[in-house]
Amino acid sequence: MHLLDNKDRIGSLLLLVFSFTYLQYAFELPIDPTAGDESFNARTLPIGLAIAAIAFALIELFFSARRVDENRISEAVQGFSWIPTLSLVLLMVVYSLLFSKLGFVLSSYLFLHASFLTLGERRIFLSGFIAASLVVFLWLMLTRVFGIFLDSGDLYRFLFGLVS
Amino acid sequence: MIEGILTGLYTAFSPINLMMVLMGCFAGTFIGMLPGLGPVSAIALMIPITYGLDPASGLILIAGVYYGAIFGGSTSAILINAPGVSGAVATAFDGYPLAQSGQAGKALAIAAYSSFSGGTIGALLLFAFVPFLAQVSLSFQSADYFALMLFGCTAIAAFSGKGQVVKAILMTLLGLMLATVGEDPSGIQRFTFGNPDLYDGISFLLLSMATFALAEALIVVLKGTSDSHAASAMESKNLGSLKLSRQEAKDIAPTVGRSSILGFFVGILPGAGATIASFLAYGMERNLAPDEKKGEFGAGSHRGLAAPETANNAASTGSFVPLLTLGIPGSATTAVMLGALLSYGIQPGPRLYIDNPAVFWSVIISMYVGNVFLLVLNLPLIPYISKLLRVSRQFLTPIILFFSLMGVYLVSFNTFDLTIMVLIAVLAVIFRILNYPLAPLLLGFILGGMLEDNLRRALLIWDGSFTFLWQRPITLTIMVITLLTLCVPLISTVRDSRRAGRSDSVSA
Amino acid sequence: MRELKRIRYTCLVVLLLFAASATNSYAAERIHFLIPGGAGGGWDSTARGVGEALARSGIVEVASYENLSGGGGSRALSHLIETAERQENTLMISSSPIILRSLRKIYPQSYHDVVAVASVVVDYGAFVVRNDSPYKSWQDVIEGFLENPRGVNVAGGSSRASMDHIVAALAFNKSGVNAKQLKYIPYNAGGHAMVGLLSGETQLLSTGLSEAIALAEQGEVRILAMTAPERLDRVPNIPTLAEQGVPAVFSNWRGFFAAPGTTAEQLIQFETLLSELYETDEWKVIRENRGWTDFFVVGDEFSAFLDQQEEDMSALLRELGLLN
Repeated sequence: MHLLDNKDRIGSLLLLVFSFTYLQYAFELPIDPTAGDESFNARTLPIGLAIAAIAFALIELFFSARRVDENRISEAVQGFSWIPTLSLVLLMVVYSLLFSKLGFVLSSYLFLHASFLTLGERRIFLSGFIAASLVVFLWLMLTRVFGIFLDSGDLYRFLFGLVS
Repeated sequence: MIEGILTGLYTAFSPINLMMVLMGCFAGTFIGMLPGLGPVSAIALMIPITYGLDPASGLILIAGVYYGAIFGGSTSAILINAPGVSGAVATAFDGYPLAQSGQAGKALAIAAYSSFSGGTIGALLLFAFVPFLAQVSLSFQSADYFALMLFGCTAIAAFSGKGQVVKAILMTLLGLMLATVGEDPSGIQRFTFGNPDLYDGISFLLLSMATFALAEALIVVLKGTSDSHAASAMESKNLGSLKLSRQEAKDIAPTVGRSSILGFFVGILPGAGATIASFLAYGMERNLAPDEKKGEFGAGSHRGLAAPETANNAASTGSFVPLLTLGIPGSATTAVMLGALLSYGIQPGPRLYIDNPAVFWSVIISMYVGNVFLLVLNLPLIPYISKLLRVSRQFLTPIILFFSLMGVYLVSFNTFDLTIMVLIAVLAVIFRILNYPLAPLLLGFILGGMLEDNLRRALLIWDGSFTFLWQRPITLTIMVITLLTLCVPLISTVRDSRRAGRSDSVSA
Repeated sequence: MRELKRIRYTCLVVLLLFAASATNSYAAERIHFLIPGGAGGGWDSTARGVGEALARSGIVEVASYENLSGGGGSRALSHLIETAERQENTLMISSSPIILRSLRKIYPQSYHDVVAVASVVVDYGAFVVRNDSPYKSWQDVIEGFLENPRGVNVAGGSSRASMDHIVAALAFNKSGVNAKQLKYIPYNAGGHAMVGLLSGETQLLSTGLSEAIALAEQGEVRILAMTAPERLDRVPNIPTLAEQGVPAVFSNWRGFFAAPGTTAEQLIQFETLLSELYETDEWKVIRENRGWTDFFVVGDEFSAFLDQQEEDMSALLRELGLLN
């Protein structure tokens, strides 16, 4: 584990893995059969990029091998607040999944209010009021003033009928 | 010409039109501040509203909206690191760090002054040279654009501090690789894995919101309260202050001058535009800066903020040259502007300038009036806008996340994009922790598509031979400049280190 | 304190009522446009132009617009199919590429899966050269091509195998030369392709007629030929390919589709709505400013027209080797 506890090494390994995968797919890209005489086709650039990236990732890996005790990840992440960050990420994913179910207004309100509370806000009513008024204001501006269509959501349609 | 200009001025300053420009600036600033809704959507949304107005008022409203949206975009780039349009990416490089150090007002003021100056110098250049400029914008071919994009890539040097060169190159390559997703110019789907949501490629907005705005907001949460420095900076009394010292103003003046001219001429080229202009200006300023100032770039340099802001506004003015003198839109923004002009029955083209100079100049003057009013209107608002940063973190962070997600959703209306965005943001956070710079990723991504398109066109046209690199004078010139930009710092570093080595051996 | 609470509560109720009343209008008075591309594009401006004329002339009360870009336009199509039961007031705008992309399997669905309502406007393919070009007629282009196929670079504003390329291939094919040899240079927008032509790196431009007319009127370029069946009243001096002995006719229509399961009654309602549109002055103004040509083909006739176009295109794609 000690060997992997280095920023440069992990970073270049990540990019190396990505580039190899990308290269493999690049070799499988189809080529337009009617443009056979062209020297530069759909594969040319991706293959070139992947090879360059692999080369540079190897260089970075090589140099990181000489700086064994620098740039420790374990030092960099000391004192990080993982729980609120991961909760926020989770909330964003849930928000994106619930968006079309609950509609813009409700899902955005829930997302905002939940995130406020996640980040340590204690005043439930105040934060709820801020979330609600922000969402309603934005909704009014977007739909009524600028005429942008926002999905009202499956729940709304279930409750109030099918008119979209 | 003079008569045309006077008529233009006269119409622009009628009370009803002043009202229009005011409304336009407000609406534009508001729309532009939502990341994702840039000048293109702002104008597209306004066109139906202006159907009933007479052309002069409609045009002036559009002008206000246009400049408002550009300024709004810079505002969100500076305050919350959310560049919603590609022209504002370089603005975020130095604008955001400056705002974070407690000088949000100053950052916004520099942005406002420099974009105003860029627009003004651009307009002056337009007045002086308009008859000759049409030819300039047609002198560039795909081969030359390829060279220009390559030159744009040298701007990554600006992000490669000590020991970061390889990392910056790697991230640029990653950006270039991400740009290949979607349909290629020969009509082949690349890296879409049969998923229709990927056919059009990854959108710029999604990538920039995920890697800049979302990642930054998450990092702030991750570092938690331990980072009290930022918090105290926000409490600073100068947060909303616009004041620039005389020395500071003197310092950015030459930058503004250089960047305006560079931006204007890049803007004239229909295949380049404001984004390339802002990157080139940023790169140029860093290369010209004295060594002790180079380190400031990316950490809140005034010049680093003024350069791209000036250049992108001068470029926007420049992009009116192909639009008005040739009737050719060079960018999405000018395309929607063309739509607006057509809906007022104005057909831009060479004849417009010859047959109907009054209309021609009133279009240009309306745009300029928009530029002036924006400055007049927004300067007094800056102290209030910048106080936004004083909103406490537990409210501000979720709101930033929400607006970034909304911005992407409002363009694609696809919740799949939101999920992808969160995924990319998480990866971006990991790269940030590993100390890999993300700006080159975005730079590579933006330039990647254009780089490949132009290279492939050039090769097709030259029947697969690379001879265009030295047979076309413009291409050759740009390639030589590119090589010089890359080599000169390298040579001087080698010389310095050799000198340093020698002095070491002497002292030993 | 209690007073404040009551005011707040009243505000909330009023807001909710406002929201509810705004969304619950009667079916016949509102029309919803589904646009497969982003704001500001060609589909968008046509749909908004039609909607604006309908609303301003009072034919419908409210017109709303939903931009659903993505998947090269296929997202809007699948959305219309998947949510058909709640799309009874919805018209999706589309144009010839819907056929092309379905044939090339870029779209999982095709226009057969939705209900064709009517086409409203049409644009034709145009072939444009610079003023100083040695080509004076379409015949000159073909002769030049026969002499040296690599010497005629054809610019277009979309990728290979999409609209501009296919229209050019059609014209060359019908001129009796091998369109497989065509050197097509793709640009990413019509405007950029025009710059390519004017900068001298390409010799011929394949583009939409309305876009070309504007520039030809400005005296920058000449239009050698276009793909309409006969000359147009608006531009009587532009010859068709057909009259130059090349039987290549192609109409890039823009029209509307309704959700699958739309009843015959509703269809008639849509059709009367659109035919009323043609009578309005609002429409005439918008159409003239934008340079659109009316092309009102309705119902079964529209479906038959689409089937014919699909057949023609599929034959051409096969011949070019772009379809197996």
